[in-house]
Amino acid sequence: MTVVVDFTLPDERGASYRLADHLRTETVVVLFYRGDW
Amino acid sequence: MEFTRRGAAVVGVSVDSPAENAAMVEKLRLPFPLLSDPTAATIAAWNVYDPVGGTHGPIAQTAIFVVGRDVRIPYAYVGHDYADRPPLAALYSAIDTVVGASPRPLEARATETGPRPLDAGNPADRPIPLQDLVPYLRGGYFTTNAVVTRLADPAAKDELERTKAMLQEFMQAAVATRRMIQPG
Repeated sequence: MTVVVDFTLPDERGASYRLADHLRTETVVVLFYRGDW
Repeated sequence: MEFTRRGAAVVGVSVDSPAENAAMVEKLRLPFPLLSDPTAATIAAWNVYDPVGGTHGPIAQTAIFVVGRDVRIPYAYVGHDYADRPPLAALYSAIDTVVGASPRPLEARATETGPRPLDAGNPADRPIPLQDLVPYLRGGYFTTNAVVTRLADPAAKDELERTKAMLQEFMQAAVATRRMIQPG
């Protein structure tokens, strides 16, 4: 069971992205992926 | 993009660095940001930790969550392997059900600098009681000691000697801690 846990992570330009800030205005589709492993 | 048209933003999360993500956004011309979670703290907090991991350590499972402004998840998909993708129709309809939702506050819990939260279901995360720690470390020390005599390669021997010294140091620290808690 996944609960929504807020996160603040750097995007590809190094800018900080906080989930809670975006959820204030819009629905967010969060994709987790394995990455270029 | 279909997601945007339906009023949803998209964001990707993986253990890759911002530089790797920048290359990926450029290469695939992605119209959404890719976030970097190198310690997998957020990945673990969202319960999408791949127990096997990648070649360089922990990674995320392929997973998709639709998160409404009401902080509910009307749609969650966790893939079994890297090739798994969910059917899009269910994803779109889940977005449609939450797009009109009223916002609710979301508590901050995980950040990029925070440690990976402990997971009670993960055996590696279960704490060892102090009384068990000394025998545990001693076992490791004697095993290392036995293996080191069987090694021919000097570099491997050196490496294992270092591990042995570290285990001995930990063992002494655990004994000292035990004494502080239970004198005598």
